[in-house]
Amino acid sequence: MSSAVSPAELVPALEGRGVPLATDAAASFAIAGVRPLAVASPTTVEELGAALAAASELGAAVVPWGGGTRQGLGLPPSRYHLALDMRGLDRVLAHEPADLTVTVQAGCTVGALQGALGGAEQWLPVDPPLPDRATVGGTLAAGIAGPLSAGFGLPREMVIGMRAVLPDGTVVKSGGNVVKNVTGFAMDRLHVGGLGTLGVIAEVTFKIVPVPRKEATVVAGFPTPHAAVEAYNAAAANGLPIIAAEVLSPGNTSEVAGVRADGWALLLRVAGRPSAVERAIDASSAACREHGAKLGDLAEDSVSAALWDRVADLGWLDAPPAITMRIAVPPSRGPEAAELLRPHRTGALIALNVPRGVVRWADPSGGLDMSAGAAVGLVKGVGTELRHQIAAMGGSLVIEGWDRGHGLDPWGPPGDAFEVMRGLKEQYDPQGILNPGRYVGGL
Amino acid sequence: MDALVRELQRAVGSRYVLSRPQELLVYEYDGAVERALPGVVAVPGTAAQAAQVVAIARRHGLPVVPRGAGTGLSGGAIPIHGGVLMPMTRLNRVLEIDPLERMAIVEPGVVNIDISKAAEPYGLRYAPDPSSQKACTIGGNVAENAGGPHCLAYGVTTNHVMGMEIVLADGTLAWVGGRNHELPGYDLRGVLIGSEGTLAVTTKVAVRLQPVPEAVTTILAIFQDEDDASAAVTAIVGAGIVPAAIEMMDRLTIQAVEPAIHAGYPADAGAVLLVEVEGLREPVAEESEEVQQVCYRHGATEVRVADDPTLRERLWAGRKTALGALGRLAPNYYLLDGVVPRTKILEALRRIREISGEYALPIANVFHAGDGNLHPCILFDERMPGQTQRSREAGGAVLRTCIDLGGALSGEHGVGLEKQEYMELSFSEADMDAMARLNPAFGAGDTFNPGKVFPTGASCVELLQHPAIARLGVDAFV
Repeated sequence: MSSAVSPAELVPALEGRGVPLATDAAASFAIAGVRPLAVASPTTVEELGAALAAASELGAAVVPWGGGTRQGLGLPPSRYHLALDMRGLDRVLAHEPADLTVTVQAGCTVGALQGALGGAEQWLPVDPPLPDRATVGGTLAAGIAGPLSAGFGLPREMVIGMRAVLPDGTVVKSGGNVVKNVTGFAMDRLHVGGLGTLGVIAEVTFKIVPVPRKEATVVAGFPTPHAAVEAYNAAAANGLPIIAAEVLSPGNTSEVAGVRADGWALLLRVAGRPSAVERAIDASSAACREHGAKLGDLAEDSVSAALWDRVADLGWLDAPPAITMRIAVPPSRGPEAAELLRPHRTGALIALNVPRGVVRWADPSGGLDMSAGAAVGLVKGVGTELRHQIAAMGGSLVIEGWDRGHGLDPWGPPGDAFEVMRGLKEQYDPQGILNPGRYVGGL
Repeated sequence: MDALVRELQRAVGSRYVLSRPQELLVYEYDGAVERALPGVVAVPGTAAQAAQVVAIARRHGLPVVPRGAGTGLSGGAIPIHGGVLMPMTRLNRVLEIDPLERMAIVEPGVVNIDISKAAEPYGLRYAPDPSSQKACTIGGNVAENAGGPHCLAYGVTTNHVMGMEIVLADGTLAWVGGRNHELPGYDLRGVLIGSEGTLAVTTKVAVRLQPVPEAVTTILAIFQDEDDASAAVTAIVGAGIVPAAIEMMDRLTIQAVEPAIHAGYPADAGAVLLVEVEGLREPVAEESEEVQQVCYRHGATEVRVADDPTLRERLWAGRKTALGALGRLAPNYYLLDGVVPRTKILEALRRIREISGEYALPIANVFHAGDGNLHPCILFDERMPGQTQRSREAGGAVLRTCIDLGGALSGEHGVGLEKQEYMELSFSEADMDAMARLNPAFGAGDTFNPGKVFPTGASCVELLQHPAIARLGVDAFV
C-alpha cells in the first residue's frame, strides 16, 4: 500500500468499474497545493461504492468532498490520490411531512434541503455557514454546528438513520426511518464529526421540525460578555422558547451581523407560537434592561431570520476565511474564553454560543499572510498560551485553515480514550486510505 | 473460583461479594424472559472498584455483566455465559448539579426519577422518562438508550447524555464527552449509548437538564374506532403541534382497564388517546384547544381536559395501570416493542388484528402513538399446550410487520437476548459486521456482556412469568 499510485493505474481502475470521472477538475480539488490524480463524481451509492472499492484495491488515498467549504479542517492529507466529489448525490429521496422525517443523499446542499422542506412548513434546524455550498454529508462529517444548536442540540441529534460506505466499498446501514429506534448500534455517531475518516456518508435520514409560526430577535448591548451572559441566564430561567443565543464582540462582529449595539451584543432568537414569542420578547427585553443593557432594534420574522443567516455565516460571507478557530469550554466559562481571544488579533470576529460555551473566531480579512508577523504571533499565541488557558478551563481549541508547515496540531490533545479512536481507525480503515493523517491525533 | 472470590473481596469488601447459590438466585433474571445464574456477584462502591472488578474478571478469563435495577425487558442484564455480575446500585450519588450550565453529574446507580427530584429545587428536570423511571437506573438507561412516553418532544437518552466516565476492558477509566459540548474526536459517547453494556461499563454520567415547564395540560379523548384515533394522531402532528406525549390504548386494553379502575370509559369505546402539551401558559392553552378540536373532528365522542397535577394524574391512571389490568384477561403475556412510522399506525394495528386472528391469541395495544412505538401485548396461557410457542410465533409476525411497514424491531427496550435472532430482518450481514467491529476497537473481547444483540442462531426461549414484573408490577415497564 505504498503512496506510489499512478494515474495510469487509478483512472482505468475507476473507469473499469463504471465510476464517472471529472476530467480536468483536479485543480479545483487541490489541498495545500496538492492535486489529486483523479476526481470521481458518483451519482449513485453504487458508483460511490465502486469508486472506493477501486481506491481500496490500489491503496489510493481518498478525500471525500462535499461543498469543499471545510477542507481547511484538520491537516492536509498525508497522501492524496482521489477526490470524491459527492455533489452528484444530491437528491431528496423521501420527505414524509406527517412523519416529520426526510431521507436525503449526502451531496445535497443544506440550502437545497431546506428549500425542499419549506413547502411543508418544515425545516432541519442545522445552520452551517455558506448553506448553499455546504452539503448535508460534509456538514455532518465536519461536525459543524451553528447558532441553532443552542435550541435544538448538535446536528447529530437530528440524525435517525444513515447509509455509509466503508473504504472497501461496502455499503452499511444503521438506524432507520423512525424517530425512536434502539435496534443495533448507533454507527451513524461515528461518521458525524468523523471527517470521513471511517467511511463516507452516503444517505442520511433526519427527524425534522415544523417551521415556527413566528420568530423575533432581541438585540442588547453590554459592557462585558459576562454581563450579557448574566442577562441571558435571567431570561432563560423562565423557560422561554430561545432557539439561539449568541454574544458578539464589539465593533465589527456586530457590523458583519448587521446589528447595532453598544459594546458586546447579546442576540436572543425566540420562536414559536405568536403568544409565546410575544411573552419571550417582553421577558427577555426586561432581563436585558435589568442587567444594564441598552436595547437595540427588535428584528421580527423574515428580518430576524436574515439576521441569523449572517450570524451563522460569521466571517464566511463569500468564501471560507483563511483561519477560523472553534473553542469549546464548559458554558459557565464562555465569557472568559471570549475575552481571552480578543487580544490575539485585533479585528477578529468573535461569537459566543451562550448555552453551549462554544466560541467561533474568524479572521475577517479573507486571507492572512502566513509569513507575516501577525500570523506568526497568532501561531505562537494559539499554539501555546491560549490553548493552555483554554485547557485549564476544561476546554478545547480547534483551529481551521492550518498548514502542515507550521508544526502545530490543529486539534489539540485527543482526550482520554484515544486508544479506542485509534482502534476504530484500524477496524474500519485498516489501509488508512480515507483522509489519511488529517484527523485528531494524526489518524 | 476461590481465588477469584478472594480477589473480588479484597477489591470491593467481603460484604459485597456474593457467591452462595441462594444469593446468586436473586440475580438470575431481569424484566425479560430468560434466566441464567452468574458465577459470582461483586458490587463495587466506587468507580475505581468497578475498574478493579473488571481487571480481576479479565485476569480470570471471565465476562463481566453490568446491571442496574434489572428492569430491562430484553435480557440485557442476564449473565447468559455466567461470570461476574456487577450491580452498579451502590454507585448512587448525585455528584453535582450545575443550574447555570443545566447539567448534572451522577453515578450510574442513581434512579432515573431521582435526577429530576434532585434538580427540582433549581426548576430543572431530566427529560427522558421510561415507565420504569421510579426503579430503573441512569446507567441502565445509557446502556439501552432508554425512551419513555415524553420522548416525543424531547428525544431519548442519547439526546440528553453529554458524556460518561467508563471502564474499558483493560480496567482503565476514561471520560468520553463531558461538560464541554464539542470535544474533537470520534463521538465515542454516541456509540456507547445503546450498546447494551457490551463495550464498556459506565461509572459516571453527565446529563443535560431542562427547565420544568410552566404549564402542563393533559387531554384524554375517547373514540369509537381505533382508525379514527390513529388518524387523529397523524392530524395533530400534521397541524404543526408536537405534544410532549401522545399515548393510545386500544379496545381490548380499555375492556381490561375499565373494570379494574372505573375510569368511566364507555363500554363500546374503541380507543383512548392521551395527549400532553406543555410549555409556557399561553401556547399550552392554545395547543390544548387545537388538540381537542382535532380529536372532535376525527370522531372523538368525549374529550376530558385537566391542567392540575391531581386531575392529570387521574386521566393518566387508565394508561398507567393498563398492563396490570390485562392480567385479568390472561395469565401470561408477551410484550413487544416494535416501531412504525407514525403515519403507518393505522395499517400496523389492522395487521396486528389479523395476526391475532391467525394465531388465535388476543393482542392488546397500549403504546406511544406519537412516535409510532407500538407495544403489542400478546395474551396467552402457558398451561394450555402450544400457546407459549404460538405467542412467540405471533410476536415474530408482528415484528416482521413493523419492518415491512418501514419500522424497527425495538423503540426503547433494546435487542439483548430477546430480539437477537430478529436482527437479520433489519440489517444485512455487512451492517451487523460493521457494528460488531466496535468490539475489537474498544478492546472489549468477551469481557462485557457476551452473547447479546447479534444473532447466535441458537436462541430458543421458553416464555416464563416475568419475575421482575411480579416484583415491581407490570406497569412499571411500558
